[in-house]
Amino acid sequence: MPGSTIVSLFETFLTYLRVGATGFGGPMALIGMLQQQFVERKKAISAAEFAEGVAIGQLLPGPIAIDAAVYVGYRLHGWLGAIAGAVGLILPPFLIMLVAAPLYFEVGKLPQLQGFFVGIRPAVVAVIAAASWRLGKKGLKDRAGFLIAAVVMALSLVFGHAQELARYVPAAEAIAPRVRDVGSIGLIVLAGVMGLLLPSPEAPAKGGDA
Amino acid sequence: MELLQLALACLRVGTFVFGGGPALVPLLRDPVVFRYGWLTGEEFADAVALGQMTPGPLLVTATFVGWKVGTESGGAGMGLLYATVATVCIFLPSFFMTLAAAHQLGRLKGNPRVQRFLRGVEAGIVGLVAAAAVQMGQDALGGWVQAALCAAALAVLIRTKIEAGLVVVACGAVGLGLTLAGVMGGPPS
Repeated sequence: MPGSTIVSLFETFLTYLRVGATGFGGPMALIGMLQQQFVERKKAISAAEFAEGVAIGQLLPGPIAIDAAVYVGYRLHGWLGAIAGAVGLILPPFLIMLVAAPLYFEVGKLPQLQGFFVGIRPAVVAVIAAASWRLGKKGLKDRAGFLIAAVVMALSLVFGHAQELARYVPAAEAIAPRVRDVGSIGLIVLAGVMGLLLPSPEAPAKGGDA
Repeated sequence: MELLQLALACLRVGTFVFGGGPALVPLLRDPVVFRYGWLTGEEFADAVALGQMTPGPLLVTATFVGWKVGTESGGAGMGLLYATVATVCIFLPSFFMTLAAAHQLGRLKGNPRVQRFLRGVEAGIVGLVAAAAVQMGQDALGGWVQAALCAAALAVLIRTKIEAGLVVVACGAVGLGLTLAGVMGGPPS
């Protein structure tokens, strides 16, 4: 790697900590910060290698930013670097959540504050709906894709209904929780199998939209 | 026993959260709200909101779940232990998969079967997340004020680049203002 500099394990960890603590704005914001730090400022890793880390993140489950951080850490310092990447990025939000969760259960029960939660719950619904809209714009490229999304959505809603049915039909009570438990994971596997079986036009899929 | 259930649930979710954050919502809701009843639907929505308001990936919602399950079984010490286990377990699968894939990326990307499977998964996640929005909407949108708030937030999120965490906080502030002004009643408690 011409022009790359060596960044110590400790400095790598500190950089991840900083990104983890200030990384608001979703996965792409985190990716951008990592890229800025490791590719542009420290020149520790080439842009092509970094892009490979992002490509892995898009391919695999889990947050893209974590996958990319683990990959960059691994390229720089092997196993220890990978651990530094994961721990550094996750530790700040983890600690913040450890403060937020007790606060939620103590202060959040105050009757005066209930309005706040009445307000955020519709917002969460909007965030999830917007996420599905955004994922759909990116991921639904052909008729097979729309079909898979529709089938999964319909089944997921039926599974949700099974739980409600169980409240009224005692016989369904035993099955409903099991259905839910297989639920989302089973549907993801089903979607993958449908992707394998359904005919689809040859996609370019060169990973250009990293 | 509960710790083991929590660890396994988080490992399973961590293995299947394709596409990152959004898929977490339907996946984690299955065990946490429906199978084990660790959180109520409202608490889960609030936990996702907190995950959204904090920096970093949405997967730290698992930290919240661990904290609640742990403190209920034995105070703050257990809360810390459970929260740590939940967080490690939800990230562990993608950690190992990334390292495994680091050497195999070319082969994985070149394999047409893997490609087609993943494209199917990608489409499926869209449907799964959309269904989660519908289901959580049924719980959260009890009145016209909530529905209007949701519609406004959705418009802002789709039309602008304003960050989701900010939108959530802003809606909370509006909700707080409206209840204090007496326009909207809080839930009976």
